[in-house]
Amino acid sequence: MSVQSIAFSTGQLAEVRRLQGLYPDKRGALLPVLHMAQDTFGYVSLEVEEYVASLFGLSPAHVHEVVTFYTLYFRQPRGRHVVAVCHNLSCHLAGAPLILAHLKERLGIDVGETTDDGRITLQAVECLCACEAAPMMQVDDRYEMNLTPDKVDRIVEALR
Amino acid sequence: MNVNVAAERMKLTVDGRTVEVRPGATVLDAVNRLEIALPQLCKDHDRAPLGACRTCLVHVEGVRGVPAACHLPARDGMVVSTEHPDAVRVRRGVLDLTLSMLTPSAERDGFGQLGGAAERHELARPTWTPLHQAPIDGSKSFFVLDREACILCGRCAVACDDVQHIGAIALLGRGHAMKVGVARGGAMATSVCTSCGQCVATCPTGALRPKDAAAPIARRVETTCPYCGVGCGIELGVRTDHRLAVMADDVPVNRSSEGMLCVKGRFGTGFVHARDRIRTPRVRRDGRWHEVGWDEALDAAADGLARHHGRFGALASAKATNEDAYVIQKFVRAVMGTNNVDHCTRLCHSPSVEAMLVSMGSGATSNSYQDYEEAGCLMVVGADASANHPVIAIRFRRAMKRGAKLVVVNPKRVELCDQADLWLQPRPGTDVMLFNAMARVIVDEGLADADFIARRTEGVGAWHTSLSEATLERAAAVTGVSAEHIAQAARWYARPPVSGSCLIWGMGITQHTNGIHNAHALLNLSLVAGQLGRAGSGISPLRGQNNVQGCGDSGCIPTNLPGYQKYDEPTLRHFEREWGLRPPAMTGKVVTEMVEAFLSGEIQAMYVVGENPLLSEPDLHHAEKAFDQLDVLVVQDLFMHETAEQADVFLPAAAFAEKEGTFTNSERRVQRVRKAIDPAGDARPDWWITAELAKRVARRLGRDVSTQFAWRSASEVFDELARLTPFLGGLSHARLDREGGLQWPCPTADHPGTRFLYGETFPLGKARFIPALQTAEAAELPDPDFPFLLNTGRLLYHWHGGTLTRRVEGLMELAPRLEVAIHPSDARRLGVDTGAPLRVSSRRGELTGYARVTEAVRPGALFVPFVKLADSAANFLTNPAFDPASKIPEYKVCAVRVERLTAA
Repeated sequence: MSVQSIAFSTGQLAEVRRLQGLYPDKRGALLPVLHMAQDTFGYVSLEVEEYVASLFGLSPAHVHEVVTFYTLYFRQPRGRHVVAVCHNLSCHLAGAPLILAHLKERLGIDVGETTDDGRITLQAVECLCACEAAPMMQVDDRYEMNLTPDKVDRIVEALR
Repeated sequence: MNVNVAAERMKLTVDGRTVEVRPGATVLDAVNRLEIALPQLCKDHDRAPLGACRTCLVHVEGVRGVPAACHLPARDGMVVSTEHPDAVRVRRGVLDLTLSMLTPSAERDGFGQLGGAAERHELARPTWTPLHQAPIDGSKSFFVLDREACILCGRCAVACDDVQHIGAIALLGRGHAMKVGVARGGAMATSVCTSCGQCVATCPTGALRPKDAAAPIARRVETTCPYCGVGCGIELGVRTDHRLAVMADDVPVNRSSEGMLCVKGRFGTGFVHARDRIRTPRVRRDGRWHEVGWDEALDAAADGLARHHGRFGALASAKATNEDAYVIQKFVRAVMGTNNVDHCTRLCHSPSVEAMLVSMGSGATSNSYQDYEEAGCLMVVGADASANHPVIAIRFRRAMKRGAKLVVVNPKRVELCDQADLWLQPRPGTDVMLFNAMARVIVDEGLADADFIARRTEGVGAWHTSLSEATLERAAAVTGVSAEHIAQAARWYARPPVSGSCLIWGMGITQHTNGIHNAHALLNLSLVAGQLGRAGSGISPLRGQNNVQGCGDSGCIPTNLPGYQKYDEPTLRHFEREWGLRPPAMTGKVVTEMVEAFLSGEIQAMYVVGENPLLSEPDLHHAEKAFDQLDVLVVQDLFMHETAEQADVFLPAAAFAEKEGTFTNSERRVQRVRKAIDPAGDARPDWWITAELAKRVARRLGRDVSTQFAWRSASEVFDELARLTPFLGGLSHARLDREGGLQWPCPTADHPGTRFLYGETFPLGKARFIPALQTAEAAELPDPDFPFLLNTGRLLYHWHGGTLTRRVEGLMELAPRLEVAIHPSDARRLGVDTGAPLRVSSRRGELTGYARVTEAVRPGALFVPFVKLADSAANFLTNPAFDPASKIPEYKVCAVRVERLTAA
């Protein structure tokens, strides 16, 4: 991604203005706009932080502060799909370590890394509020529950 | 009527003592009122509470738990205890955890406020060990960031963001990984930090601390910053070894600076102790300097000057005090029989002052800094406030945060351009056309203030006719700014979204051969829009030197007596009565004319105080030739600078921290300068030296002026100045000490001072529209031999020619060598990168500098600051052609060529 390519479309800029208008202080819209930026540019690079800062009249340091605080902003390129395995208490007791180990071996990457073909980024995350179906993981924006290694294989297979 | 007394005052009990606070106060305010030692690490005493450190914990009867006092609203009847066992136990636990985050270091003497609090809670050693280890970031020249001592209170980030509006520092990451850092996560020096030191001043643990060895401070002296015309309050720390602490503190109660400072005010006072300060008077004999006593030096100077009565000129200093300036002009007028006295304003704002005198009758900034913050539109023209008036730039940023529109007019991309709502980039020298076109938009679109024009102005008809050429289409063609942008700027300025508009300008307007036309075009714009004479509006030439306003007020100009009074018969008689000597009635020479008069022999002796014309004059080779012709040159200064090298007698003067007096800043505020330390060696205050010289010269001329130059203190000098200057009549050192700085006009002892001028009337009665004409863009434009256009200006880290700042080590680290700003396309053609050595030459001289490749300048243009570094100075190149009306040289434009030098 070159520096020149970091710019929202006219339609997106209108959306930025709409979001900014929803809050008494427009900086309230920083989080949704950062998500927009992440969806558009793939991840929140330092250049993206600076671009977003310029849309808000904020210092790049302030945007850096926000981006480094939240875990859902990716500061490195991520895969086309994000597989986030819950490793919190309920899932842990129900076999999350096994699921995670299986995924690591199958994908050949460690937690926090992305497969060489750019297909999948693997994460371990805190509780996603689905303890009734532990162990579970989030794949992009959907939940996959009551996992077994076989079920994980089928899910990962389907990700292109 | 029932008045609820409880709403006016609330009564609380803290540790068994009763205290009253106002509604809106917190429990911490009540505790602090009683001066009870309660830790409050994240609380800056003049900022809103952060509530981050959780150390100000108290017990309140009837309240569950141990709340933080800083965020607990005080209520009538509250019973508070800071000593309750629960509060002490939990607070001790928090302090223990806080202290456990930190690693002791041999380089640091304790943890500031935290160290003291821990001691009071009998915490000799923390229970836990730190999780992280971090090396010290020493990348900044004046201070370090030592994360081992950081408790993540966030005060530094608030100081950087909310006080200074710089936004360099932030708290990065979360949880255990959180740390103070900068954008991109690099070292401090890679950030936009301007070294203002606001964070260092506020840090409670010494994680941010000055680099110099902490020496015990014996006392603190509140005074006024000696650098630019903003006039910030500074508090000098005087160490037990009689030297000034490297870092000065800010003064929150100062009405001009409100606790803000920039790098020069905070860290730049070290020149006072420079090794090469001249400490003893010197006389030149047989081409060599001899150190002598005051009597011998003053006699030698007096012998020389007395020979040239009437063929004499003096250059006063806008860096010295009002008292110093007043005594100099009295000496020149009363003893030397001439009005040939001037100061550096000739080289910066004389077109502004002349134009304002013609249009309005007064040459001062009409508004206060406060008005910038209350304005709805700020139009900043030819001024790089972030570099030259940093604390004013903070005011601009505060205004923008409130929603004010910022319009920047500048051919160079200065920092403010990046923050502006609209940036106009006219071709140099086309300003008149630009402002005339804006004025036409205002008239044509019905945005003019018809009522103001009718009641308060004259000459609108002829002026309006003079705008016929200034159509948007033509202006766009001449200036290179789009018609749409010109019109938008005019609309915002005439009808800001709220309140009024302020017009602010700098040397980019004045240092041109058509400087006075530029200034008139601006003034006309303010008149047609009616944007002056009320809160949130006004006209502001940003003054460069700390006392350039006061030096003119005190009479160091050849055209007027103190208080800008004219050489008319009643005034001359009044001065004669006061002085016992009559000032001459004929207008004297301005400094640029004086230099020419050296060559013709009309002036044969010169007295130069606190100025360095052989660095600040344009075309230095020519100026050097002129100075060679002088028979007698007496220089009075701190250092042996370029001009002093040519002198016959050198008189060592006391620096700002070594004497009493007053400075007057850009908003007409007269503020006290106070003595913190004894003068270096035998140095003496300027007013004393000049008075001694005056008495000795007079004696040689057969006159006795010992009663007219007999002041015993600076305060007595000020009283005489105030007596003769109606607008200062109500001021005295005693009153300024009592009430803080006051803004003139302040004619009587019970007058509160004046926030803005022209509320009711103008000194001329009605203000005048003066048609301004777009003449040739500059006296010298690029041609095939000299194809580049050279622009000059200033830097944040150096002060003008650099005589002071070159003697402050940390500032030299920040800006060690002369940089030539060049556009990437030109740099490519020359095959140079940033850092490559370059030779820049004009028809008059040449210099060596280092390329800084930047889009801040246009293609075909170069920018060189006028500071002298390593024998290279921009004024070897500049053109002495001057504006015929105000005599200001055209520093801003000349033609040069640039070549790549092979690295030695």
